[in-house]
Formats: sequence, C-alpha cells, structure tokens
Amino acid sequence: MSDPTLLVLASLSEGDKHGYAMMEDIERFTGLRLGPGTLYGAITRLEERGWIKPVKADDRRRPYTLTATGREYLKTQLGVLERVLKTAGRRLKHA
Amino acid sequence: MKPLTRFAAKLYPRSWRERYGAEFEALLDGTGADPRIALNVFREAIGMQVQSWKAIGSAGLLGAAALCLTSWSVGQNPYSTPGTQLVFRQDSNLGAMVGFLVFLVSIVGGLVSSILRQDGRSPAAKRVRWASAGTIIVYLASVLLVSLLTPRTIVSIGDSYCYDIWCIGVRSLNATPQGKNILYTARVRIFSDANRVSTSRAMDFLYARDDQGRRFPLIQDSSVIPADVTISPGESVETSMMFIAPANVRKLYLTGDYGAMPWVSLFFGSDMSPLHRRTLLGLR
Repeated sequence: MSDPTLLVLASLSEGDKHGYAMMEDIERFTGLRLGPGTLYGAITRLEERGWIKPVKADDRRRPYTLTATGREYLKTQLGVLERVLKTAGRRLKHA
Repeated sequence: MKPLTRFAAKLYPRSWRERYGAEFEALLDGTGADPRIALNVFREAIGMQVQSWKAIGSAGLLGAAALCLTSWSVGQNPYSTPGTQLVFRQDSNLGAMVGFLVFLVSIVGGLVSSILRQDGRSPAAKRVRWASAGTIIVYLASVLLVSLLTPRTIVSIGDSYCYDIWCIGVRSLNATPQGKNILYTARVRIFSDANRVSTSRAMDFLYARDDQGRRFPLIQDSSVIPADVTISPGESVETSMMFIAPANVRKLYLTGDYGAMPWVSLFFGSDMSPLHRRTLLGLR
C-alpha cells in the first residue's frame, strides 16, 4: 500500500491536516516518508478528482479535508485491499 | 541544498505555482536540506510540466487536424457565381478598413508604449506593448483562418472579376479542335472600376490553366486589342484571347500572376491572402 494518493486519503480520514502534518502522519503509520513533490503531486490529483478540498487557513500552510466522495472512494479501496490481504494470507497458509 | 529545492519548485507549471506555490513553499520550509528532497521536487515538477504540455499539445493537434479537415472539405466545394453579369472583386473595402484600423492600433500602441517607458512606467508600457502585439497576432491568425475556411470562387462566363481597379469578364468561349489539342478563343471584356485614374496590366500576366494546375500561355495575336491595353475610368473594351490546350482537359480557367502589394495580402477577404484559394475565371 504505497500509492501516495491512498496514503493521503488514509491520513485525512482521521481529520483535516496540512502538508507537513500529512507527511509526519504517513511516516508514522507506514514508515515511509513521502517527498514534498510526491505529496503535492498526490494532493493535486486528489483535489482535481474532488476527493479532497482545502479548508480556510490562517497562515501559508493550508489544511485539506476529505470530501464525501473521497471517503466513499477510500472505503471502496480499503474493501479491495482487505480482500487482497485475506486471499493472500489464506493462500500463504496453504502454501 | 535548500536553494536547489527552491529552484526545482520554480520549475512547476505557472498555473500550479499560482494555486499551490505558497503552501508548497511553507512545506519546503519545514523539510530538511536533503538532496533527495530536491531531486523529488525536481522530478515531480518536470512530470507536471510534461503533463501540461501533453494537454496543450493534444488540444493543439486536435484543433489543427479539425481545421485541416474543414479546410479540405471547404476546398472540395468551390462557389460558382451565377453568371448574371455580376462583378466580383479581389479585395473588399471592409477588409481594407479593418486592416488599416489594426495597423493604426499597432502604431498608436507603439507610440503610447514608448511614451510610458520614457515616463518610467515600465509595467504599463509592457502591458500596452503586449496588447498591441496580441491585437496583431489575433488579426493575422483570423485572416489566415478566414482564408482557410473560404471556398474558391469560380467566376462563371457572363460575370466579371476585378483585380484592384482592373476588371475582366469572359463573355463566351469557342473551341476549335486541332488534332489532339483544342484551340480556344475567349471573348472577354476588360474594363476599369476606377473613377479617376487609368489602368493597365502587363501583356503576359494572364494565362489559362486546368484543374490539375497545368498552364497554357495565351497566344499573342496582333489583330486583336492586346491584354495590356490602357483603360480609362469608366472605359470598357471587348477583345479576344486565344490559347491551345489538350483535348482531354476537363476544366479550364483564366487567371493571372497579379503580383499584389504586400499589405493587400494581409486584408480580410483578399484574394492574395496566404492560404486563400484564388478566384478563377471559369472557361469550361
């Protein structure tokens, strides 16, 4: 699960965050540190698709929030991942 | 390494920088001076640039293809005049007026820009300069577009065509077989569209051509009024023009190397505009 867009969605599912907070959070739960370019590439794509949106900021650091369609998309992707993990686990047991 | 990262951040497309630039800078402020960060930002910036070029390139290619297709389709259906003694002109007064207006705007724009620059108002001077250049570019592009999308006019026998103030119309055409060739004799009327000045054309500027672009020069005949006759205002002369063409020629036209003044080709609707399908006098 190293798709940066999915990692950003997973990070925002906990609550609104700005770029740096997302980087820290993602590193905490995956051990991966996204580069700033990679992170903002993912943010750009997610905002274009309407899965996240910016919220008002008091300074230059702009937080983002998950939209309803973004949340639905994340749920669908997690469902797929869960099935993949269950199938792979089951198959590894029998191997 | 931070300066390198900041330089890489400047490589993002302008629209992206306008939207995300400030917050991205804020994020970079919080990151370390690792060369891998600079590399990461550089790679993403180039990726975004390629994406935006792809979009612009695809749209441009699609537009050009649609334009070529439409232009080709328009070229398949020339407009034939009704042959009811109408007069068609190589240029239009309106086209010349619009062209003159654009010329005037660019001159005034240049002057205003120079004055503003001398006054130390460089940003305003730059804006005026860009506006003038933009007007000229849009005008020239429109002239080319109109030329591309205008079908060729075939002036039928009975109608006339004016190049500037010099006009010619074919009245009738006789064909006399001569072996594998045909001797054509066209009865033509040459007249002036001027109010004050006399006009004439060079003897050899007219020629016949077929639909495949083959040229057939006119035969000089000293017994008829020559094509380079000088015409006074309001005057009209009847004469004939002869040429020989193969019998298998399907379509024949009379046309000429008019040699227009350069600025005439920049007018809307001018027969001399680049990419314009030149008007032909239909013979058969």
